[in-house]
Amino acid sequence: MKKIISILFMSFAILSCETPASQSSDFPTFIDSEELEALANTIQDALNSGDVETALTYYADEANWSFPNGVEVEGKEAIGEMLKTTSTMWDISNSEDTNYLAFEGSDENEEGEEVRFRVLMSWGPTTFTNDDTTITIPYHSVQIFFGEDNKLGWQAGFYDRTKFVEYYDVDIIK
Amino acid sequence: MKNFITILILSLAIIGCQAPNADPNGRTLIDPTDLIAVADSFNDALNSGDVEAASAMLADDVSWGFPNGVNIEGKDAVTQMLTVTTQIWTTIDQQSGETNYLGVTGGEQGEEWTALLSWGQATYANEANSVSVPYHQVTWFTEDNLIGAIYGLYDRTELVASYDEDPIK
Repeated sequence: MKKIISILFMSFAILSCETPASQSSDFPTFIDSEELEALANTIQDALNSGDVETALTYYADEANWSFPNGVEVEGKEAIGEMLKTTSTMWDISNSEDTNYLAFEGSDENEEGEEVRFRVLMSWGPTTFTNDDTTITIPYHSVQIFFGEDNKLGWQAGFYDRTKFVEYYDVDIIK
Repeated sequence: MKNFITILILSLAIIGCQAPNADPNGRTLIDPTDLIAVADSFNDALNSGDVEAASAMLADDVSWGFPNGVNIEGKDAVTQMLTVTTQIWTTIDQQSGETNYLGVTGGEQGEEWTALLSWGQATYANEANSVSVPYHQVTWFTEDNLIGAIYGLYDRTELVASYDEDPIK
């Protein structure tokens, strides 16, 4: 999925810059982030309640999750296994001070089908809580949703894992 | 991860090729070329250990936010921090991998701000250690393109493990 999408959008970028007069609704544009925020919150709420199965219904089969230590979890099944571990360990909440930026666009995939993508980026303090401890850290998230049904295809977090690694007996993201 | 970051930024580059469009909060994409030039110069100064040159690019009221929540405020304090870190690391390269940029401006009239967002890889190295991590940075600029604030988000685990005493606390 990575390779296909990468080539797809690289070509799209080149074409669009060569033909600026051809602006159309297909071009990416900034959007109100509220709908994607709500979607991201729905997924997080499901995870916080331990309902990994519901959370996974929002993920694409070929979804990827990138961690700040360089670990990448590939595929919905592997993400599900990871989430089963992390969701039992942490309740996660974003600060009301979180800033969001969102945009959307669309292009054709290899099969000639039009694929819509929407991106949600956020910056703000995020708190991880369980019965033993609370960790609040500055956090940057990038989530890319694909298709009309907004399946989450990729997400990445940029944050300091020092306190997590100190807390874990065995690092669960490795 | 690089591929997806590339998708993201290329997609944003597409927006940059079109007429500027603001989001509901009035934020607009801008050509980041001038901002990248400052970021490159700052990175080059750090990478060569030239703290004086790096400091000259900072606003007097600059602040530097770290991913562990530490915030260093003021040019003198930031310069002191750079002096310490450049003595620890012979290489401080915040653009050690392919770096992608996005320029954004926004704010109310009279309180406009300009920022450079970057995604890539940072490398910190000395004779004993070399640490490379995925790196995201937001750099705010003053009207005269001095660096007004830096906010870096990355995993410090390996850096902390390499210190006898964490210099960022």
